[in-house]
Amino acid sequence: MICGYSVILLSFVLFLIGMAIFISKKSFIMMLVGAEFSLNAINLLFIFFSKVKNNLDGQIFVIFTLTVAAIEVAVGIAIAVLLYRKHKVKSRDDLKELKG
Amino acid sequence: MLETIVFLVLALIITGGGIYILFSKEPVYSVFSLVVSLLAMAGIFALIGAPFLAALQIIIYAGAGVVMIVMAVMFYKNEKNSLLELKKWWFGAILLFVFLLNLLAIELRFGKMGLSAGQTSTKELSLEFFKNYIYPFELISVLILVGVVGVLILAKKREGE
Amino acid sequence: MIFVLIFPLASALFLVLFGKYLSKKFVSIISPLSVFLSFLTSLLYFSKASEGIVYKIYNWISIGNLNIDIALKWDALSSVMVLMVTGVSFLIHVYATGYMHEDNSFSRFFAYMNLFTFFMLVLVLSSSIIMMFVGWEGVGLCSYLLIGFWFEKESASKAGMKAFIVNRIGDLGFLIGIFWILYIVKSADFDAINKAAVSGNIPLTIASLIGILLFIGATGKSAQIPLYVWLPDAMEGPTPVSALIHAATMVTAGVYMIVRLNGLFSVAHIASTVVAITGVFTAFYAATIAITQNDIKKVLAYSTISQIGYMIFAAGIGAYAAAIFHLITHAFFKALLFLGAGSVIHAMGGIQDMRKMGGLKKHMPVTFWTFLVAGLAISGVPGFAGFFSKDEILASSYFTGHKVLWLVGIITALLTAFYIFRLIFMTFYGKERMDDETKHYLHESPKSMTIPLIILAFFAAVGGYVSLPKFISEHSIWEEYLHKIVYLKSEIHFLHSVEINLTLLSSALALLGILIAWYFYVKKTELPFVIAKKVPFIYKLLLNKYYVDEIYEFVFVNSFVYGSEGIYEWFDKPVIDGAVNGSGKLANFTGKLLAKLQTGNIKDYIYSILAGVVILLTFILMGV
Repeated sequence: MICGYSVILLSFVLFLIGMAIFISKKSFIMMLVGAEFSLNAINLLFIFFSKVKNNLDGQIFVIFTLTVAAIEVAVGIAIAVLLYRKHKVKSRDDLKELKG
Repeated sequence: MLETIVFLVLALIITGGGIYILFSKEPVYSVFSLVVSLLAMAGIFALIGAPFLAALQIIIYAGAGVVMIVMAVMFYKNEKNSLLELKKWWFGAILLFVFLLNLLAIELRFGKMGLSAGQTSTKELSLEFFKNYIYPFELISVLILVGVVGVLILAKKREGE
Repeated sequence: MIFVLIFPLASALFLVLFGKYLSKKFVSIISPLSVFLSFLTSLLYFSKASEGIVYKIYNWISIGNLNIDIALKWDALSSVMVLMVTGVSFLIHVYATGYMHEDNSFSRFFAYMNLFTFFMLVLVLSSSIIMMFVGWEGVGLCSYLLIGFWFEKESASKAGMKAFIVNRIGDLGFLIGIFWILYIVKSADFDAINKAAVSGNIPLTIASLIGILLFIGATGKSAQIPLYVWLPDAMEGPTPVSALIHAATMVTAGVYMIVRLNGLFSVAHIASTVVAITGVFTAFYAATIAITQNDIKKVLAYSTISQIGYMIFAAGIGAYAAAIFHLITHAFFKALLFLGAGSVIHAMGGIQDMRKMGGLKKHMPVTFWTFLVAGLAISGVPGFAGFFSKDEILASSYFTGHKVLWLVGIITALLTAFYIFRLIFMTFYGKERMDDETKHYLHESPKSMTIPLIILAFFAAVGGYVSLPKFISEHSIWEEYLHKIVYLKSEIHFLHSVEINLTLLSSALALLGILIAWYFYVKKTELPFVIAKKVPFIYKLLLNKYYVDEIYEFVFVNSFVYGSEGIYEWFDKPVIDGAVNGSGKLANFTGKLLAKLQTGNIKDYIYSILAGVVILLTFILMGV
């Protein structure tokens, strides 16, 4: 039997790693990779609690997360490619239009 | 006992993969590392009793999602990743600290939580899905459609480009 | 069951999205077809209706212990209404394919018509008062869109706005009534509301107040005193619209609502008395106006108001089956009258003034004969649909002890026969008063217009036989069928010997009305002018519709305009403007301050999002 705490711990660590990737990388693609990583950690947590509480809602939510993540990757990459094509922007630090 | 060992091995693979991505400079290798991590994650899903989701994980993530990322990486040609560079490290450190504090709280609240060994059958899941979640299901398919159309419009070459 | 709703909606959406690219021929097939499919579906399910089934589709709102479902109620009342709505709507759709043929916005028209049918079905099928309100507003919207369909005409768009605004006044009362019900009954379900009212869970005074508030909504939608003023103006819309919305279906929504909430209204005596008096008075009042109008559609509009007055009256005295019976028969013969009038207008090239018509009988025989059937039906000549339903209402009022109201009602019956045959004689008989060009153009309408007329004429003739007078047959199928939806059942005792006399009296009055009309407008055509000269005051009063529009303009619109100007000068400028400008300045100042936070650096944003996540997580886990 797997210890419950270890699963939560793993999920937390993976979430942290994902966030660290998201923050530290500059290219949009790598940021997406980090976001995917974090989402996976969350999915793990969802499934885990769904199993513990014997409630299928968590697992169903994972299906939705997977779907949304797939769309997110597609749209995110499209935007990144477009940014490169139009403005030759590759790194997020080149985007400062929002500065107040 | 065997389960625990398998779990630990898979957990190590995922964590290692993540850390590799974090420090690697080579985008292509990072993406392959991501694939490995995702596959291992699918293994964990199966291990804790959700085989259907494990399959979905492989098909959607490791399959479709990563292919797109690889394509994008190719598009960027030989772009090297920049190294870690944390200017506001102190802020991150505080966040990290609070975050880790939470682990303590989790230990207190869920520490003794055990995992039932049963598998969630696909039948069970799909029954629940199409009984109680039929409207969200329809909505998410609309979302996919919107996503596809949106991407098409974004990626379309406009005149004068 | 839900398919009843889906067909018209799908067609409406389809036409809105792709209408531009479709040929008129395709539109004129798909749009009536969708309504027809709806009709077939409801026919298919008709046998199940007598038990009263609720089809739950979705749990819409769930707050505390207040649950509002999207559910369809399929019982005796709604099944009859749905059959009528889809059936009449289908015929009018077919008619409109001919009538609107030369219009440029062909597909837009049918999109609106389908949308209207959908909302009307929602209104009729809803099992909760909230969902009914959705349909209620939906049909109001479509009505507005269709009245102002020829929005290039200024009068049309103004009429649309007038209908919309007058209806808002009524809806305010309706909405307050709904909220009050929700507050007291803690449910929006019709069944629960009626049961609560019947079992005495709603205090009597409050029930009466709620009833009156709901009735204010009904006066708006069903064009009763004092909110009827929009309906005559609504005739600016295309004639099929007048037939469908402003004669057969939407304007009867108020009657339907009262019958649907019969438990509440039969408990709340004060409210139902108000309903009955308003109804019968409106019937009389509108009939007197209809006598003097010269626009063919205006006459029919006032006639509609008058007939709905009868229905409201019947609902008010507790004769619910009779009210719905008259609603259905009225739908047939009034739709027929409007479509016939449309056919006439079509032939006359858009002229609506009866003084310029005359002698059309030989030019358009089909229109004439069907129109005559409808005229006989509405006047209450024995054997035709209107006779049975109107007589049942009058007999019920007599035997429930409302003798004064009965008297007003029976005089109105005389007036009804008079004005409708005045219309027929002025239009189809006598000299041909139109100019030569129009005369040359006169023609019978195409098949797509005359066939619906014939079908409707058939129903207007025989539709009444489902409920025979009591002295002929004690058991009426109709009443037994509709009796299931009545919560507080009370038998009205009909004395057969008296009833025969009453029936004879009203038939005699109907024939008398026709006779007078014939004498005035065929035999001695100069007589109306002589009378108008002799009593100029009454004639002018009636011709100008009792000057109600002018009074409303003076009392409400002017006081509103001047009052608003005063408020603008003394309150708006110093207080509101000051507050608005002040808050603007404040926002500007804080904005400048906060803009410093916005670095434009994505990393900073990520950090702040992450900080939010961590703080939330901490709060949740610490169980705060």
